[in-house]
Amino acid sequence: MESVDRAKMLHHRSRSDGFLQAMRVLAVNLEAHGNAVALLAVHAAISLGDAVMLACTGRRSKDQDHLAAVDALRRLCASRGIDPAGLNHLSWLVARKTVFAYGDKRLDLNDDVRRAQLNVERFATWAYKHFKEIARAERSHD
Amino acid sequence: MTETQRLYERAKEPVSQCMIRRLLLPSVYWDAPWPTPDRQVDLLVVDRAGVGDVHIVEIKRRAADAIKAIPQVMAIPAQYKWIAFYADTLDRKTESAIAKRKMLFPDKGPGCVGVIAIERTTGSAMEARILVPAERFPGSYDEELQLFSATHKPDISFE
Repeated sequence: MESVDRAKMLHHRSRSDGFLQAMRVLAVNLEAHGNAVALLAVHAAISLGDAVMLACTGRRSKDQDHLAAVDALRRLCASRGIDPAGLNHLSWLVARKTVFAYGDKRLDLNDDVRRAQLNVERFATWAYKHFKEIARAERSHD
Repeated sequence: MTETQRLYERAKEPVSQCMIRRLLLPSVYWDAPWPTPDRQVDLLVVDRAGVGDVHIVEIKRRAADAIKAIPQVMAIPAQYKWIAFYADTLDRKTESAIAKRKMLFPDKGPGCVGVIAIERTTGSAMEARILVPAERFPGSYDEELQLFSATHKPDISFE
């Protein structure tokens, strides 16, 4: 990984870490913070996806439609022979970003919020296991 | 099992939860043969789904025993090294030694052994909290981790 790419990767991974940690802190009181938890899950996953792309290709998707980023990750998996199953978790989250952020409907604690938490944890676990370069780089905030 | 042994065993869960709060989706192994099958650590915690930094924790019932174990803890290969003990065993002398921190640092090079205190909360529940955060020791353990994870399943993971 080039040093510039590494610095950018660490920046996006650090952002993802922050969203994930904040999600876990707020999740202690889901009744009060469910909307924030769900949206932080989405952002943590998107930022981690960006970190993967930067680590592996030096580029990340800047498309406002985040499903384009999922497609780019799918192509990356195909090029490396990686099972893309973990991307289903990212797709689930990305598809709900607008609803979680601006939707009129009250979020369901199980179907929306807890599922968002589970999906980001599973996506991150999949990403670390298959793209070890993002897991093994030293944490930028240490 | 003696009461001391039971307290030692029960400490693994709250200390694991403490590490889970601090790290990101770590894999936690209890009584892990690390770094070789003939040696064992109380907790082996590997950050980022079991492929990131390696943390080891030595748990003792008594604070003074945990402090005595620091030289052995320093010798265990890991990026982050921790001792844990029951807070109600902390005497003035040990508390002062921890506050000074000198014995937590290696003679040479970077790193600091972290300190975790286990406290009894409501009823018989326990909670572990960090008194001194560990600082990174040098070293890379990718090959050792690969071998270890191929033959061991974590006691706690997020898969």
